[in-house]
Amino acid sequence: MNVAARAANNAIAVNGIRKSYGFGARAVLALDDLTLHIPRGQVYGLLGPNGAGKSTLLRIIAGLVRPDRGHIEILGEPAAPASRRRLGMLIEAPGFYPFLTAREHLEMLARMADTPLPVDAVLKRTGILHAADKKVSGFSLGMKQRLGIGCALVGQPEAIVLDEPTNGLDPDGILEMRALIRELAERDGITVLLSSHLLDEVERVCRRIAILRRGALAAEGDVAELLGRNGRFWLNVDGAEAVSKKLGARAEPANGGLYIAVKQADVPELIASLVAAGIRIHEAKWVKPDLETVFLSETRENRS
Amino acid sequence: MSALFRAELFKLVRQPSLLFWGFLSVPVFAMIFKILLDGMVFVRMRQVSPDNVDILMSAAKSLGISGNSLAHLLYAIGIASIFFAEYRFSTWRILVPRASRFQLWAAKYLACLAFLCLSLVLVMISNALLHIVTTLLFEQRLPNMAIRPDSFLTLLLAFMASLLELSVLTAIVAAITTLTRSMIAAVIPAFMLTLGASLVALYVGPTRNVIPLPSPASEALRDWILSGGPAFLGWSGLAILSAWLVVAAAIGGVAFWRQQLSSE
Repeated sequence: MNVAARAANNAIAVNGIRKSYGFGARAVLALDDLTLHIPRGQVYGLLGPNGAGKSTLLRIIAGLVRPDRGHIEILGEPAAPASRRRLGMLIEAPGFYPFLTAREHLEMLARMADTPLPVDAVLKRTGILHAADKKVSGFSLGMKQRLGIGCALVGQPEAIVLDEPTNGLDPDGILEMRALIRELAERDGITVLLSSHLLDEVERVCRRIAILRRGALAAEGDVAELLGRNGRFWLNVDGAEAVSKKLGARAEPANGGLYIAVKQADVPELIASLVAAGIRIHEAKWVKPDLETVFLSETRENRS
Repeated sequence: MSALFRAELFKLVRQPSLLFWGFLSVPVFAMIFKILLDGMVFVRMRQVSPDNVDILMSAAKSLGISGNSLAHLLYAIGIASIFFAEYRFSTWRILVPRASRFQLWAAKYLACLAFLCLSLVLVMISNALLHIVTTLLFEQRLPNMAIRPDSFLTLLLAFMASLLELSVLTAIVAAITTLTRSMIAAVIPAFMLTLGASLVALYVGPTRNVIPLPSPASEALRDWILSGGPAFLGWSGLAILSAWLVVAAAIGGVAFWRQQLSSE
Protein backbone atom coordinates (compact mmCIF):
# COMPACT_ATOMS: atom_id res chain seq x y z
CA MET A 1 0.00 0.00 0.00
CA ASN A 2 1.50 3.34 -1.01
CA VAL A 3 1.76 6.34 1.32
CA ALA A 4 -1.25 8.17 -0.14
CA ALA A 5 -3.46 5.10 0.07
CA ARG A 6 -2.33 4.46 3.63
CA ALA A 7 -3.03 8.08 4.56
CA ALA A 8 -6.53 7.84 3.05
CA ASN A 9 -7.11 4.67 5.04
CA ASN A 10 -6.45 6.49 8.30
CA ALA A 11 -9.25 8.16 10.19
CA ILE A 12 -6.76 10.27 12.12
CA ALA A 13 -3.06 10.65 11.38
CA VAL A 14 -0.82 12.31 13.94
CA ASN A 15 2.42 13.30 12.26
CA GLY A 16 5.45 14.36 14.31
CA ILE A 17 3.48 16.36 16.84
CA ARG A 18 5.54 18.21 19.40
CA LYS A 19 4.01 20.32 22.12
CA SER A 20 5.51 21.91 25.20
CA TYR A 21 3.96 24.17 27.80
CA GLY A 22 5.80 27.03 29.48
CA PHE A 23 9.11 28.62 28.60
CA GLY A 24 12.79 28.15 29.33
CA ALA A 25 13.81 25.93 32.21
CA ARG A 26 10.20 25.56 33.36
CA ALA A 27 9.00 24.23 30.01
CA VAL A 28 7.21 20.90 30.16
CA LEU A 29 7.30 18.67 27.12
CA ALA A 30 3.81 17.21 26.70
CA LEU A 31 4.25 15.53 23.31
CA ASP A 32 7.59 14.58 21.86
CA ASP A 33 7.45 14.18 18.06
CA LEU A 34 4.53 11.80 18.34
CA THR A 35 3.46 9.95 15.22
CA LEU A 36 0.35 7.81 15.32
CA HIS A 37 -2.06 6.48 12.72
CA ILE A 38 -5.58 5.48 13.64
CA PRO A 39 -7.06 3.22 10.96
CA ARG A 40 -10.65 3.68 9.81
CA GLY A 41 -13.46 1.49 11.08
CA GLN A 42 -11.74 0.28 14.24
CA VAL A 43 -11.95 0.96 17.94
CA TYR A 44 -8.49 2.27 18.78
CA GLY A 45 -7.38 2.60 22.38
CA LEU A 46 -5.17 5.36 23.70
CA LEU A 47 -3.48 4.52 26.98
CA GLY A 48 -0.94 6.15 29.19
CA PRO A 49 -0.36 7.19 32.79
CA ASN A 50 -1.27 10.67 34.01
CA GLY A 51 0.85 13.26 32.26
CA ALA A 52 1.62 10.99 29.32
CA GLY A 53 0.14 13.51 26.89
CA LYS A 54 -3.20 11.88 26.05
CA SER A 55 -5.33 14.92 26.83
CA THR A 56 -2.94 17.25 25.04
CA LEU A 57 -3.09 15.03 21.97
CA LEU A 58 -6.90 14.96 22.02
CA ARG A 59 -7.05 18.74 22.49
CA ILE A 60 -4.74 19.19 19.52
CA ILE A 61 -6.97 16.94 17.43
CA ALA A 62 -9.97 19.01 18.58
CA GLY A 63 -8.24 22.26 17.65
CA LEU A 64 -8.25 23.54 21.22
CA VAL A 65 -4.46 23.51 21.48
CA ARG A 66 -1.96 24.40 18.77
CA PRO A 67 1.05 22.09 18.35
CA ASP A 68 4.56 23.57 18.26
CA ARG A 69 5.42 21.32 15.36
CA GLY A 70 3.86 18.59 13.23
CA HIS A 71 0.41 18.25 11.77
CA ILE A 72 -2.80 16.28 12.10
CA GLU A 73 -4.83 14.77 9.30
CA ILE A 74 -8.48 13.93 9.78
CA LEU A 75 -10.07 11.51 7.31
CA GLY A 76 -7.32 12.22 4.80
CA GLU A 77 -7.57 16.01 5.04
CA PRO A 78 -5.50 18.49 7.04
CA ALA A 79 -7.11 19.23 10.41
CA ALA A 80 -9.36 22.28 9.95
CA PRO A 81 -12.90 23.22 10.98
CA ALA A 82 -14.35 21.49 7.90
CA SER A 83 -12.56 18.19 8.55
CA ARG A 84 -13.17 18.41 12.31
CA ARG A 85 -16.91 18.65 11.65
CA ARG A 86 -16.65 15.06 10.37
CA LEU A 87 -15.42 14.06 13.84
CA GLY A 88 -17.44 13.69 17.00
CA MET A 89 -15.54 14.59 20.13
CA LEU A 90 -15.95 14.10 23.84
CA ILE A 91 -12.98 15.81 25.45
CA GLU A 92 -12.37 15.20 29.17
CA ALA A 93 -15.31 16.06 31.42
CA PRO A 94 -17.93 17.43 29.06
CA GLY A 95 -18.86 21.07 29.57
CA PHE A 96 -22.46 22.17 29.14
CA TYR A 97 -24.63 25.24 29.65
CA PRO A 98 -26.46 24.59 32.93
CA PHE A 99 -29.43 26.72 31.82
CA LEU A 100 -30.17 24.61 28.72
CA THR A 101 -31.81 21.19 28.52
CA ALA A 102 -30.24 18.11 26.94
CA ARG A 103 -32.54 18.46 23.93
CA GLU A 104 -31.65 22.13 23.51
CA HIS A 105 -27.94 21.28 23.56
CA LEU A 106 -28.36 18.65 20.89
CA GLU A 107 -30.64 20.82 18.75
CA MET A 108 -28.15 23.67 18.93
CA LEU A 109 -25.25 21.44 17.91
CA ALA A 110 -27.33 19.69 15.24
CA ARG A 111 -27.91 23.05 13.56
CA MET A 112 -24.12 23.49 13.33
CA ALA A 113 -23.67 20.08 11.67
CA ASP A 114 -23.72 19.42 7.93
CA THR A 115 -25.78 16.22 8.20
CA PRO A 116 -27.32 16.02 11.66
CA LEU A 117 -29.05 13.01 13.13
CA PRO A 118 -32.57 13.36 14.57
CA VAL A 119 -32.17 14.60 18.13
CA ASP A 120 -34.66 12.14 19.59
CA ALA A 121 -32.77 9.22 18.05
CA VAL A 122 -29.54 10.42 19.68
CA LEU A 123 -31.27 10.92 23.03
CA LYS A 124 -32.68 7.42 22.84
CA ARG A 125 -29.40 5.86 21.80
CA THR A 126 -27.50 7.45 24.66
CA GLY A 127 -30.21 6.56 27.18
CA ILE A 128 -31.27 10.06 28.26
CA LEU A 129 -34.55 10.41 26.39
CA HIS A 130 -36.39 10.44 29.74
CA ALA A 131 -34.38 13.49 30.82
CA ALA A 132 -34.38 15.26 27.46
CA ASP A 133 -36.26 18.31 28.67
CA LYS A 134 -34.53 18.71 32.02
CA LYS A 135 -31.93 21.39 32.53
CA VAL A 136 -28.37 20.05 32.52
CA SER A 137 -27.68 21.70 35.89
CA GLY A 138 -29.67 18.85 37.46
CA PHE A 139 -27.80 16.08 35.64
CA SER A 140 -25.57 13.55 37.37
CA LEU A 141 -22.03 13.03 36.07
CA GLY A 142 -23.15 9.87 34.29
CA MET A 143 -26.00 11.67 32.53
CA LYS A 144 -23.64 14.45 31.49
CA GLN A 145 -21.30 11.83 30.11
CA ARG A 146 -24.15 10.34 28.08
CA LEU A 147 -25.12 13.77 26.82
CA GLY A 148 -21.47 14.38 25.91
CA ILE A 149 -21.53 11.27 23.77
CA GLY A 150 -24.84 12.42 22.29
CA CYS A 151 -23.22 15.74 21.37
CA ALA A 152 -20.42 13.84 19.68
CA LEU A 153 -22.88 11.69 17.73
CA VAL A 154 -25.44 14.28 16.69
CA GLY A 155 -23.39 15.51 13.75
CA GLN A 156 -23.35 11.98 12.28
CA PRO A 157 -19.55 11.74 12.46
CA GLU A 158 -17.34 9.37 10.49
CA ALA A 159 -15.01 9.06 13.47
CA ILE A 160 -15.47 9.75 17.13
CA VAL A 161 -12.99 10.61 19.87
CA LEU A 162 -14.03 9.58 23.36
CA ASP A 163 -12.02 10.61 26.39
CA GLU A 164 -12.91 8.50 29.41
CA PRO A 165 -16.50 7.94 28.24
CA THR A 166 -17.42 5.68 31.15
CA ASN A 167 -16.46 8.23 33.80
CA GLY A 168 -19.24 8.51 36.33
CA LEU A 169 -21.33 5.69 34.88
CA ASP A 170 -22.66 2.89 37.06
CA PRO A 171 -21.79 -0.74 36.16
CA ASP A 172 -24.91 -1.07 33.97
CA GLY A 173 -24.06 2.19 32.30
CA ILE A 174 -20.51 0.99 31.64
CA LEU A 175 -21.84 -2.15 29.99
CA GLU A 176 -24.25 -0.09 27.88
CA MET A 177 -21.47 2.29 26.88
CA ARG A 178 -19.21 -0.61 25.95
CA ALA A 179 -21.98 -2.06 23.79
CA LEU A 180 -22.59 1.34 22.21
CA ILE A 181 -18.91 1.75 21.33
CA ARG A 182 -18.81 -1.70 19.75
CA GLU A 183 -22.03 -0.97 17.88
CA LEU A 184 -20.66 2.31 16.56
CA ALA A 185 -17.67 0.54 15.07
CA GLU A 186 -19.31 -2.69 13.94
CA ARG A 187 -22.77 -1.54 12.83
CA ASP A 188 -22.19 2.06 11.83
CA GLY A 189 -18.60 1.70 10.65
CA ILE A 190 -17.52 4.66 12.77
CA THR A 191 -13.89 4.83 13.84
CA VAL A 192 -13.60 5.22 17.60
CA LEU A 193 -10.53 6.65 19.30
CA LEU A 194 -11.00 5.69 22.93
CA SER A 195 -8.85 7.15 25.66
CA SER A 196 -9.37 5.40 28.94
CA HIS A 197 -7.72 4.48 32.20
CA LEU A 198 -9.86 1.36 32.43
CA LEU A 199 -7.52 -1.20 30.91
CA ASP A 200 -10.07 -3.96 31.15
CA GLU A 201 -12.48 -1.84 29.13
CA VAL A 202 -9.86 -1.10 26.48
CA GLU A 203 -8.87 -4.76 26.26
CA ARG A 204 -12.49 -5.77 25.74
CA VAL A 205 -13.42 -3.10 23.24
CA CYS A 206 -10.33 -2.07 21.26
CA ARG A 207 -8.72 -3.90 18.39
CA ARG A 208 -5.59 -1.80 18.39
CA ILE A 209 -3.96 0.34 21.05
CA ALA A 210 -1.21 2.88 21.57
CA ILE A 211 0.51 3.40 24.88
CA LEU A 212 1.98 6.83 25.50
CA ARG A 213 4.75 7.51 27.96
CA ARG A 214 6.09 11.01 28.59
CA GLY A 215 4.65 12.30 25.35
CA ALA A 216 6.14 9.58 23.17
CA LEU A 217 4.86 6.32 21.82
CA ALA A 218 5.90 3.50 24.17
CA ALA A 219 4.08 0.72 22.35
CA GLU A 220 1.56 0.36 19.56
CA GLY A 221 -0.14 -2.52 17.86
CA ASP A 222 -3.05 -4.95 17.80
CA VAL A 223 -4.19 -5.85 21.29
CA ALA A 224 -3.75 -9.55 20.55
CA GLU A 225 -0.27 -8.97 19.19
CA LEU A 226 0.80 -6.84 22.15
CA LEU A 227 -0.49 -9.38 24.61
CA GLY A 228 1.29 -12.14 22.69
CA ARG A 229 4.50 -10.11 22.43
CA ASN A 230 4.56 -9.67 26.18
CA GLY A 231 3.65 -13.29 26.96
CA ARG A 232 5.97 -15.54 28.97
CA PHE A 233 6.70 -19.23 28.97
CA TRP A 234 6.19 -21.06 32.25
CA LEU A 235 7.66 -24.47 33.05
CA ASN A 236 7.30 -26.87 35.96
CA VAL A 237 10.35 -29.11 35.82
CA ASP A 238 12.41 -31.39 38.02
CA GLY A 239 15.61 -29.66 39.12
CA ALA A 240 14.37 -26.13 38.58
CA GLU A 241 17.52 -24.65 40.08
CA ALA A 242 19.74 -26.46 37.60
CA VAL A 243 17.56 -25.41 34.70
CA SER A 244 17.58 -21.84 35.99
CA LYS A 245 21.40 -21.90 36.07
CA LYS A 246 21.51 -23.38 32.58
CA LEU A 247 19.22 -20.67 31.15
CA GLY A 248 20.82 -17.83 33.10
CA ALA A 249 19.07 -14.46 33.19
CA ARG A 250 16.33 -15.69 30.85
CA ALA A 251 14.82 -17.77 33.67
CA GLU A 252 13.06 -16.42 36.71
CA PRO A 253 11.68 -18.70 39.45
CA ALA A 254 8.02 -18.02 40.23
CA ASN A 255 4.75 -19.80 41.07
CA GLY A 256 6.52 -23.11 41.79
CA GLY A 257 8.21 -23.17 38.42
CA LEU A 258 10.21 -21.02 36.07
CA TYR A 259 9.21 -18.09 33.86
CA ILE A 260 11.44 -18.13 30.80
CA ALA A 261 11.92 -15.16 28.50
CA VAL A 262 11.63 -16.69 25.07
CA LYS A 263 9.83 -15.91 21.84
CA GLN A 264 6.68 -17.94 21.36
CA ALA A 265 8.07 -19.34 18.11
CA ASP A 266 11.17 -20.68 19.89
CA VAL A 267 9.25 -22.59 22.55
CA PRO A 268 9.23 -26.02 20.77
CA GLU A 269 12.98 -25.82 20.32
CA LEU A 270 13.48 -24.94 23.99
CA ILE A 271 11.32 -27.87 25.11
CA ALA A 272 13.18 -30.21 22.79
CA SER A 273 16.56 -29.07 24.15
CA LEU A 274 15.43 -29.53 27.76
CA VAL A 275 14.07 -33.00 27.03
CA ALA A 276 17.29 -33.88 25.19
CA ALA A 277 19.20 -32.75 28.32
CA GLY A 278 17.20 -35.29 30.35
CA ILE A 279 15.09 -32.74 32.19
CA ARG A 280 11.60 -34.00 33.08
CA ILE A 281 8.87 -31.49 32.27
CA HIS A 282 5.65 -31.79 34.29
CA GLU A 283 3.83 -28.80 32.91
CA ALA A 284 4.55 -26.19 30.29
CA LYS A 285 2.33 -23.26 29.25
CA TRP A 286 2.44 -19.98 27.39
CA VAL A 287 1.11 -17.34 29.80
CA LYS A 288 -0.56 -14.41 28.11
CA PRO A 289 -0.55 -11.27 30.21
CA ASP A 290 -3.54 -9.01 30.57
CA LEU A 291 -3.41 -5.46 29.28
CA GLU A 292 -2.59 -4.17 32.74
CA THR A 293 0.65 -6.15 32.74
CA VAL A 294 1.55 -4.84 29.28
CA PHE A 295 0.65 -1.30 30.32
CA LEU A 296 2.75 -1.46 33.46
CA SER A 297 5.71 -3.03 31.68
CA GLU A 298 5.62 -0.34 28.97
CA THR A 299 5.14 2.59 31.30
CA ARG A 300 7.12 1.55 34.39
CA GLU A 301 10.11 -0.55 33.41
CA ASN A 302 11.76 2.06 31.27
CA ARG A 303 11.25 4.90 33.69
CA SER A 304 14.49 6.52 34.63
CA MET B 1 -22.23 31.13 10.81
CA SER B 2 -25.99 31.75 11.07
CA ALA B 3 -26.31 28.64 13.29
CA LEU B 4 -23.62 30.00 15.59
CA PHE B 5 -25.27 33.42 15.70
CA ARG B 6 -28.67 31.90 16.45
CA ALA B 7 -27.06 29.73 19.13
CA GLU B 8 -25.65 32.83 20.82
CA LEU B 9 -29.04 34.57 20.72
CA PHE B 10 -30.72 31.47 22.06
CA LYS B 11 -28.26 31.10 24.92
CA LEU B 12 -28.83 34.68 26.03
CA VAL B 13 -32.61 34.40 25.76
CA ARG B 14 -32.38 31.39 28.08
CA GLN B 15 -30.61 33.53 30.70
CA PRO B 16 -33.32 36.12 31.41
CA SER B 17 -31.59 37.82 34.32
CA LEU B 18 -28.45 38.35 32.28
CA LEU B 19 -30.51 39.54 29.33
CA PHE B 20 -32.30 42.05 31.55
CA TRP B 21 -29.34 43.42 33.49
CA GLY B 22 -26.95 43.32 30.57
CA PHE B 23 -29.09 44.74 27.80
CA LEU B 24 -32.66 45.64 28.78
CA SER B 25 -32.11 47.40 32.08
CA VAL B 26 -30.67 50.48 30.33
CA PRO B 27 -33.89 51.36 28.43
CA VAL B 28 -35.94 50.52 31.52
CA PHE B 29 -33.84 52.79 33.75
CA ALA B 30 -33.79 55.48 31.08
CA MET B 31 -37.59 55.42 30.94
CA ILE B 32 -37.94 55.46 34.74
CA PHE B 33 -35.49 58.35 34.96
CA LYS B 34 -37.43 60.32 32.34
CA ILE B 35 -40.76 59.67 34.09
CA LEU B 36 -39.30 60.85 37.40
CA LEU B 37 -37.80 63.91 35.78
CA ASP B 38 -41.02 64.83 34.00
CA GLY B 39 -42.98 64.18 37.20
CA MET B 40 -40.74 66.48 39.20
CA VAL B 41 -41.05 69.21 36.61
CA PHE B 42 -44.83 68.82 36.59
CA VAL B 43 -45.12 68.83 40.40
CA ARG B 44 -42.87 71.86 40.89
CA MET B 45 -43.76 73.94 37.85
CA ARG B 46 -47.23 72.67 36.94
CA GLN B 47 -46.12 72.24 33.36
CA VAL B 48 -45.12 69.29 31.24
CA SER B 49 -41.58 68.82 29.97
CA PRO B 50 -40.13 68.70 27.41
CA ASP B 51 -40.67 71.59 25.12
CA ASN B 52 -39.36 69.57 22.21
CA VAL B 53 -42.34 67.97 20.54
CA ASP B 54 -40.62 66.46 17.49
CA ILE B 55 -40.84 62.80 18.43
CA LEU B 56 -38.11 61.66 16.06
CA MET B 57 -35.67 64.33 17.20
CA SER B 58 -36.48 63.57 20.83
CA ALA B 59 -35.85 59.87 20.18
CA ALA B 60 -32.55 60.74 18.49
CA LYS B 61 -31.50 62.75 21.55
CA SER B 62 -32.52 59.91 23.85
CA LEU B 63 -29.89 57.72 22.13
CA GLY B 64 -27.28 59.76 23.97
CA ILE B 65 -27.76 57.13 26.68
CA SER B 66 -25.14 55.10 24.80
CA GLY B 67 -22.53 57.50 26.18
CA ASN B 68 -23.67 57.23 29.79
CA SER B 69 -21.06 55.62 32.07
CA LEU B 70 -23.62 53.68 34.09
CA ALA B 71 -25.12 52.35 30.85
CA HIS B 72 -21.62 51.35 29.77
CA LEU B 73 -21.17 49.44 33.01
CA LEU B 74 -24.41 47.49 32.51
CA TYR B 75 -23.73 46.86 28.83
CA ALA B 76 -20.17 45.75 29.64
CA ILE B 77 -21.59 43.18 32.08
CA GLY B 78 -23.85 41.81 29.34
CA ILE B 79 -21.10 41.73 26.70
CA ALA B 80 -18.52 40.18 29.01
CA SER B 81 -21.02 37.52 30.10
CA ILE B 82 -21.56 36.43 26.51
CA PHE B 83 -17.83 36.03 25.86
CA PHE B 84 -17.05 34.63 29.30
CA ALA B 85 -19.74 31.92 29.19
CA GLU B 86 -17.58 29.45 27.25
CA TYR B 87 -14.67 29.83 29.70
CA ARG B 88 -16.99 29.62 32.69
CA PHE B 89 -18.80 26.48 31.57
CA SER B 90 -15.82 24.90 29.71
CA THR B 91 -17.92 24.81 26.58
CA TRP B 92 -15.27 25.88 24.08
CA ARG B 93 -14.52 22.16 23.90
CA ILE B 94 -17.89 21.45 22.30
CA LEU B 95 -17.82 24.51 20.00
CA VAL B 96 -14.23 24.81 18.75
CA PRO B 97 -14.17 21.46 16.91
CA ARG B 98 -17.35 22.47 15.06
CA ALA B 99 -16.50 25.88 13.63
CA SER B 100 -13.62 28.19 12.88
CA ARG B 101 -12.51 30.37 15.75
CA PHE B 102 -13.11 33.48 13.68
CA GLN B 103 -16.75 32.47 13.18
CA LEU B 104 -17.20 31.62 16.86
CA TRP B 105 -15.83 34.98 17.94
CA ALA B 106 -17.74 36.88 15.24
CA ALA B 107 -21.01 35.15 16.20
CA LYS B 108 -20.62 36.33 19.79
CA TYR B 109 -19.74 39.83 18.64
CA LEU B 110 -22.75 40.02 16.34
CA ALA B 111 -25.03 38.64 19.05
CA CYS B 112 -23.87 41.44 21.35
CA LEU B 113 -24.56 44.01 18.63
CA ALA B 114 -28.01 42.52 18.01
CA PHE B 115 -28.95 42.91 21.67
CA LEU B 116 -27.41 46.38 21.86
CA CYS B 117 -29.49 47.33 18.79
CA LEU B 118 -32.56 46.01 20.56
CA SER B 119 -31.67 48.03 23.62
CA LEU B 120 -31.27 51.24 21.60
CA VAL B 121 -34.54 50.59 19.77
CA LEU B 122 -36.27 50.15 23.13
CA VAL B 123 -34.77 53.43 24.31
CA MET B 124 -36.25 55.16 21.24
CA ILE B 125 -39.61 53.42 21.54
CA SER B 126 -39.94 54.14 25.25
CA ASN B 127 -39.09 57.78 24.60
CA ALA B 128 -41.75 58.02 21.91
CA LEU B 129 -44.31 56.17 24.04
CA LEU B 130 -43.71 58.54 26.93
CA HIS B 131 -44.39 61.44 24.62
CA ILE B 132 -47.63 59.87 23.44
CA VAL B 133 -48.76 59.02 26.97
CA THR B 134 -47.92 62.51 28.17
CA THR B 135 -49.89 63.94 25.26
CA LEU B 136 -52.89 61.81 26.11
CA LEU B 137 -52.74 62.75 29.78
CA PHE B 138 -51.98 66.41 29.43
CA GLU B 139 -53.37 67.18 25.99
CA GLN B 140 -54.50 70.63 27.00
CA ARG B 141 -51.12 71.68 28.32
CA LEU B 142 -48.89 70.45 25.48
CA PRO B 143 -48.12 72.31 22.33
CA ASN B 144 -48.82 70.30 19.17
CA MET B 145 -46.77 67.15 18.94
CA ALA B 146 -45.21 66.47 15.55
CA ILE B 147 -43.37 63.86 13.56
CA ARG B 148 -41.13 65.72 11.14
CA PRO B 149 -39.93 63.49 8.27
CA ASP B 150 -36.66 65.41 7.90
CA SER B 151 -35.76 64.36 11.45
CA PHE B 152 -35.76 60.73 10.37
CA LEU B 153 -32.28 61.06 8.85
CA THR B 154 -31.03 62.64 12.07
CA LEU B 155 -32.53 59.76 14.04
CA LEU B 156 -30.92 57.23 11.73
CA LEU B 157 -27.50 58.91 11.99
CA ALA B 158 -27.81 59.22 15.77
CA PHE B 159 -28.70 55.54 15.95
CA MET B 160 -25.66 54.62 13.83
CA ALA B 161 -23.41 56.80 16.00
CA SER B 162 -24.70 55.21 19.20
CA LEU B 163 -24.33 51.75 17.75
CA LEU B 164 -20.77 52.56 16.68
CA GLU B 165 -19.96 53.72 20.21
CA LEU B 166 -21.41 50.50 21.65
CA SER B 167 -19.57 48.45 18.99
CA VAL B 168 -16.33 49.93 20.30
CA LEU B 169 -17.36 49.06 23.85
CA THR B 170 -18.18 45.51 22.68
CA ALA B 171 -14.80 45.13 20.97
CA ILE B 172 -12.91 46.41 24.04
CA VAL B 173 -14.82 44.21 26.50
CA ALA B 174 -14.57 41.17 24.19
CA ALA B 175 -10.83 41.62 23.76
CA ILE B 176 -10.17 41.95 27.49
CA THR B 177 -12.47 39.02 28.36
CA THR B 178 -10.69 36.85 25.80
CA LEU B 179 -7.22 37.87 26.93
CA THR B 180 -7.89 37.55 30.67
CA ARG B 181 -10.57 34.81 30.54
CA SER B 182 -12.30 36.83 33.24
CA MET B 183 -15.51 38.82 33.27
CA ILE B 184 -14.70 41.23 36.05
CA ALA B 185 -11.29 42.02 34.55
CA ALA B 186 -13.09 43.24 31.43
CA VAL B 187 -16.02 45.07 32.99
CA ILE B 188 -14.05 47.26 35.39
CA PRO B 189 -11.53 48.63 32.84
CA ALA B 190 -14.30 49.28 30.30
CA PHE B 191 -16.25 51.23 32.92
CA MET B 192 -13.14 53.06 34.09
CA LEU B 193 -12.29 53.98 30.50
CA THR B 194 -15.66 55.69 30.06
CA LEU B 195 -15.55 57.31 33.45
CA GLY B 196 -11.92 58.35 33.01
CA ALA B 197 -12.64 59.83 29.57
CA SER B 198 -15.50 61.90 31.03
CA LEU B 199 -13.23 63.19 33.80
CA VAL B 200 -10.47 64.01 31.31
CA ALA B 201 -13.00 65.85 29.13
CA LEU B 202 -14.18 67.83 32.17
CA TYR B 203 -10.62 68.63 33.23
CA VAL B 204 -9.46 69.66 29.76
CA GLY B 205 -12.64 71.61 29.02
CA PRO B 206 -13.65 72.69 25.52
CA THR B 207 -10.88 71.95 23.04
CA ARG B 208 -10.36 72.47 19.35
CA ASN B 209 -9.54 68.76 18.95
CA VAL B 210 -11.29 65.63 20.09
CA ILE B 211 -9.61 63.71 22.92
CA PRO B 212 -8.71 60.38 21.27
CA LEU B 213 -10.85 58.28 23.60
CA PRO B 214 -14.16 56.61 22.66
CA SER B 215 -16.47 58.70 24.89
CA PRO B 216 -15.32 62.20 23.82
CA ALA B 217 -15.21 61.00 20.22
CA SER B 218 -18.83 59.80 20.45
CA GLU B 219 -19.81 63.06 22.11
CA ALA B 220 -18.30 65.04 19.24
CA LEU B 221 -20.02 62.85 16.67
CA ARG B 222 -23.40 63.16 18.40
CA ASP B 223 -22.97 66.89 18.80
CA TRP B 224 -22.36 67.19 15.06
CA ILE B 225 -25.40 65.06 14.18
CA LEU B 226 -27.90 66.44 16.70
CA SER B 227 -26.87 70.01 17.34
CA GLY B 228 -25.00 70.95 14.19
CA GLY B 229 -21.64 71.07 15.97
CA PRO B 230 -18.39 71.49 14.03
CA ALA B 231 -18.14 68.98 11.18
CA PHE B 232 -14.38 68.67 11.70
CA LEU B 233 -14.89 67.45 15.25
CA GLY B 234 -17.66 65.12 14.07
CA TRP B 235 -15.45 63.52 11.44
CA SER B 236 -12.59 63.32 13.95
CA GLY B 237 -14.91 61.54 16.38
CA LEU B 238 -15.96 59.11 13.67
CA ALA B 239 -12.34 58.38 12.77
CA ILE B 240 -11.31 57.90 16.42
CA LEU B 241 -14.22 55.53 17.09
CA SER B 242 -13.47 53.57 13.90
CA ALA B 243 -9.81 53.25 14.87
CA TRP B 244 -10.72 52.01 18.36
CA LEU B 245 -13.17 49.54 16.84
CA VAL B 246 -10.68 48.11 14.36
CA VAL B 247 -7.81 47.87 16.85
CA ALA B 248 -9.86 46.39 19.71
CA ALA B 249 -11.66 43.90 17.44
CA ALA B 250 -8.37 42.85 15.86
CA ILE B 251 -6.73 42.35 19.27
CA GLY B 252 -9.68 40.28 20.52
CA GLY B 253 -10.02 38.24 17.34
CA VAL B 254 -6.32 37.47 17.04
CA ALA B 255 -6.06 36.71 20.77
CA PHE B 256 -8.83 34.14 20.47
CA TRP B 257 -7.48 32.75 17.21
CA ARG B 258 -4.09 32.10 18.86
CA GLN B 259 -5.42 31.16 22.29
CA GLN B 260 -4.34 27.83 23.77
CA LEU B 261 -7.39 26.21 25.30
CA SER B 262 -5.49 23.60 27.30
CA SER B 263 -8.00 24.39 29.98
CA GLU B 264 -10.84 26.84 29.66
